[in-house]
Amino acid sequence: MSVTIHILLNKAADEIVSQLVFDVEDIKKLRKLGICGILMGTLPPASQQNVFLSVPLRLMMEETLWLYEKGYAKLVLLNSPIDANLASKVHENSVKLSNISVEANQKSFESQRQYKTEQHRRKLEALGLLTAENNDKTAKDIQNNQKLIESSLFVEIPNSSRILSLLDKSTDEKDVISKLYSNCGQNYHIFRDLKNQNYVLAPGARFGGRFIAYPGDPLRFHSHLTVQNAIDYYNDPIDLLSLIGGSRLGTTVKKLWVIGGIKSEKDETQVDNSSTSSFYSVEWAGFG
Amino acid sequence: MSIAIPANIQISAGEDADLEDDEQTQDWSEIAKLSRTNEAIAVIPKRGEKDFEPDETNMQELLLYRAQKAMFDTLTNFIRGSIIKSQVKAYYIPETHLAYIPQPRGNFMNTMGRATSSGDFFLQFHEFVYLAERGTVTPFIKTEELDIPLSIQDLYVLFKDQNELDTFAIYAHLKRLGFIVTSADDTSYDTTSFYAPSSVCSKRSHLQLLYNALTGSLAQQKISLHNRWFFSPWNFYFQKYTSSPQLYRGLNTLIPSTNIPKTVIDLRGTFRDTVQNENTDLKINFNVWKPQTNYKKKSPGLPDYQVVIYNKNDPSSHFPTYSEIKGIFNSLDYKFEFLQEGMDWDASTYTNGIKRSEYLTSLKSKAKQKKSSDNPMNKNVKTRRPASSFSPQVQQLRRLRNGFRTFLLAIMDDGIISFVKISEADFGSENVWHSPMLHKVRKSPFNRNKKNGKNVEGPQKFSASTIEKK
Amino acid sequence: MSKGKSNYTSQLRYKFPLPIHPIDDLPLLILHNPVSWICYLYKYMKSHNRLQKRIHVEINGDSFPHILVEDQGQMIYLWDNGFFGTGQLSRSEPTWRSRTSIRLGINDDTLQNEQSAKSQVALEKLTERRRQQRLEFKRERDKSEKQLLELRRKGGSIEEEEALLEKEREALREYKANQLLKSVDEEEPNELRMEDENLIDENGRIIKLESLQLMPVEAIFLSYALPVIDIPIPELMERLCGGTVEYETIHKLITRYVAYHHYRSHGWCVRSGIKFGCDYILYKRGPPFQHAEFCIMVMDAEVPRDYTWYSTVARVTGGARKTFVLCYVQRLVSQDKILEAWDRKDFTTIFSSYKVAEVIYKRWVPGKNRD
Repeated sequence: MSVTIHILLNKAADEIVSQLVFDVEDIKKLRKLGICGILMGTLPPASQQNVFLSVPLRLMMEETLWLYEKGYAKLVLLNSPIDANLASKVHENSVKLSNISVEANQKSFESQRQYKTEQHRRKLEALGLLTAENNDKTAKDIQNNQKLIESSLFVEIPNSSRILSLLDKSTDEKDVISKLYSNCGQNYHIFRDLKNQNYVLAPGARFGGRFIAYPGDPLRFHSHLTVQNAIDYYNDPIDLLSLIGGSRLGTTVKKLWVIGGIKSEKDETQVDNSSTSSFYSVEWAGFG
Repeated sequence: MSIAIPANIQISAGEDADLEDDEQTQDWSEIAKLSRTNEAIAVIPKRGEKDFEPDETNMQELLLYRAQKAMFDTLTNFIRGSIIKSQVKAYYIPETHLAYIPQPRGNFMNTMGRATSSGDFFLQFHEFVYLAERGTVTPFIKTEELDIPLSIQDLYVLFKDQNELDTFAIYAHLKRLGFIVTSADDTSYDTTSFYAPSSVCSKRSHLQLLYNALTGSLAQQKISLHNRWFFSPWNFYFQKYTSSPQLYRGLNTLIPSTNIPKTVIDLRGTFRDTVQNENTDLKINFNVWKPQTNYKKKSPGLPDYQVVIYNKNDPSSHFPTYSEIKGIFNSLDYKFEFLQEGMDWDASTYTNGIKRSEYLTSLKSKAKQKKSSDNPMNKNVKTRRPASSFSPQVQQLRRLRNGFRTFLLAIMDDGIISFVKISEADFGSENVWHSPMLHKVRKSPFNRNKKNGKNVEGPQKFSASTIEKK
Repeated sequence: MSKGKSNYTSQLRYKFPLPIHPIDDLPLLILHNPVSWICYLYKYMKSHNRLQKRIHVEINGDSFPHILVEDQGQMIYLWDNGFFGTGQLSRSEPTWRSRTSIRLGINDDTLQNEQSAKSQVALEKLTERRRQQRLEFKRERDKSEKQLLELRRKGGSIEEEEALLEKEREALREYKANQLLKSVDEEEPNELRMEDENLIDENGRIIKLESLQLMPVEAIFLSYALPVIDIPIPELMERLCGGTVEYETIHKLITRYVAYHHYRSHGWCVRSGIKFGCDYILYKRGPPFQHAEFCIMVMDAEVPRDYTWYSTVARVTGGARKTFVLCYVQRLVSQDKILEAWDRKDFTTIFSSYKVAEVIYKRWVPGKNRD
């Protein structure tokens, strides 16, 4: 199975903008792979809160890299700023695009009409009004209802794009991947190694780490681990004060404070799932 | 088949707002139910119903399946858009990165968007995306003859860089909670400032600076001499100290501390960073007002908060250094909460270069004919107990705990947003030493406050230099 | 004793906030009475603030020097007059000797802080009991979780699971309530262990085992700022930093001392903040009186840390209801000038060449700040 991920490159600042996924089916697929991401769009009927949000789903760089490495994602690269290109492609294809959207709307309207008419009919039936003697009254009623339906037709703003496929693509995939690797650094290795142990990882700064790790889907499980930024296993010192503070925080929020780094270089002949990182956890003793 | 809910339903996400999402169980089943009824349901996320670890039982699989289904059903069913008769069309203008609304209508106009002098109504790009996600406006791009609808994905792809995307996410986060948010660099309306226009103060401040320089260096000499003596071996041979405060005062001249503005006069006298420091990208991104019904879009007055954005995963940015933080403090221009209570903001701030109270009167006289529904008092303001009613000790503790000039730092962590309050503080001018009762020893320790009230020192202006080095 | 409760003894005991006492026993000066003038002047000339005898300090170790006060009386003096140092065998106040004598049932007249020791012993017992109860509670909870898992494996329905969950929650609540009701003052007889023999000397007294350990910055304060300990400041600095120094070696110690002196000199009782993952915590009067209010982290003015670190300390300190303060220490002169002054042993110039600025860091929740 493959998910398409659009990547926006900002060449001027040499940056890769966060990767977003708009298609709900893709999001489902990703979740099955243990990539949960963070939803960031307003959820329409509950638009005054931030706990439940809708598409787009925002991915971490590590997640995108992992999907790419495993072959689960196809990358489509676009150069920012894109507005000029978008405008010109829209102009070129305006008739086609307009027809597609008009058609989609018509289909939607038609099914809305059908559904609402059917609902209305059932309501009348339940009230026992669909008898021969009530024919005139019900006919008028149905007519009125049709008017109501017309004026309450819902126009959808689609989530996924019909235009992006027309835009000019960039071919710098290798550059993008190598930039992602260099941005993530060793954090990608520990991400991958934890992922291979079937953890689900999410951003963890508010809990005092780079990631938090769930033993499964976050909808069902609490996260157990707060994973720190990777360090050089052999050379980096660990600041004792940070270790104390971090492990104390771990005790408070009931997550283990975990630190790790790359212990061995990955052998080319090794099987994919072998771990090159080593992890340690620290917790306050005597808290009971 | 998708059914949309036309009404905008309020859902309270629970009073445990400071529990992180992870600790609240996300129960989508309540929201998913909305697709079948039109009633608003208060959704209070339940706690403690998650499992500890995978146990490979069917039950667990079933529970997980249900939870996932509720979530994905919600995402699929709650489509964005609006009813055809209440549709407000907004057209993206690539050249200006704004959106044009030919027939603007709706409550959003009270707090968002701008009309030009010719009456054309425009939205900033982040306002445009926010309203399109909600379905309040329908996004289009105009070609010669046709209106081509844009999808949400199209809009997101039009963000120019990571910064704009993060700024939008934080904007939307605050908007959803009811705050009123404008860009700090938006100058298309009558902005209000705490500070008088520069022409008024420049002459005064030069003299002030000179005076400060002279007195500062004299004071510094005096302090050096004192330190030489106090920390020399001869101090306690020749000098006699008869109280602990004397000892403390001898000690605390050693370390210079930073003077910070605490009163209106202090603020007006500080050097202001009106020009952005080139060495840093850090700047104030948003002005934020608490939710209120009497917000005047044309001239809202000073904001309640100012927000600076920081993306912690951006390899090219770092957590603010002290000089960056100081730079932000010096450029803050909002309702300074540490100034006296009951402050008449209208009399103390300047809109368009004139005193705001005068500005408002001139507005009112123009609008004399219109029915004004202006409420000068915001009814939702919590009546707080005035600070001066607390004992000096408590007041001192509050000054230390709350600090003075404050801004909000919004941290973006791959989609998760947290806020931090960064405040300027000054421990160097607060003395908390306890002076023991020399002759009386109290048998009952119960009126501690009264006893200690004597020993609280007021703010001392004590620092080696009164001029801030930039 | 629990915090906040102050009584006659403690007011007397902790009367002076610093180990150097002001001259507070001058006779009353009656202006029109020449005799009182003479008395006053005589007393004035004779009195001085200096200590009768400086407190003796041993410094052991080279790369990580331990600064110790070994005399029992001097240890307690340093604790009572400003809460300096930590007992090596105690939580903070050096009460090992007193606690052991209580435990072993030996009466010792030389013990000065018996009162504290008694309450600390009681506190220790309570903490131990609570820990025990927590462990027992967790065992009960594990049992009930196993039952739940059993049900699942057997293939129970969701309703059955919820019913069992509710039942178990009720049972656990009851268990906890019972635990609280259990008698708190179960006196367990103190048994002498084999090792305890070694604690008693020929005279039947408890040997000297515990020393008071001072933080380097505390030692500097008690040598440089106030003449309390018997090591002169140049010698102390040399012991702490070595003979010839690079700026990097001394930077951390200087900045941390600058912050320490800054807060001490404004009246705060400054102690180690290691329990909260930060440098110092500030008490208004001292640990026996109120909980600490502020957690201080000494920061480099130009080098920021990783965001994760700020977030961690903020949450730990916030959870303990303390305010997190970043104390930025900026150097006002060049590194060379500092090194020059160091060579000259001119510490006054060194310390006064650093400026502090404070920033408060607090988590902010938008949902709670809407009105």
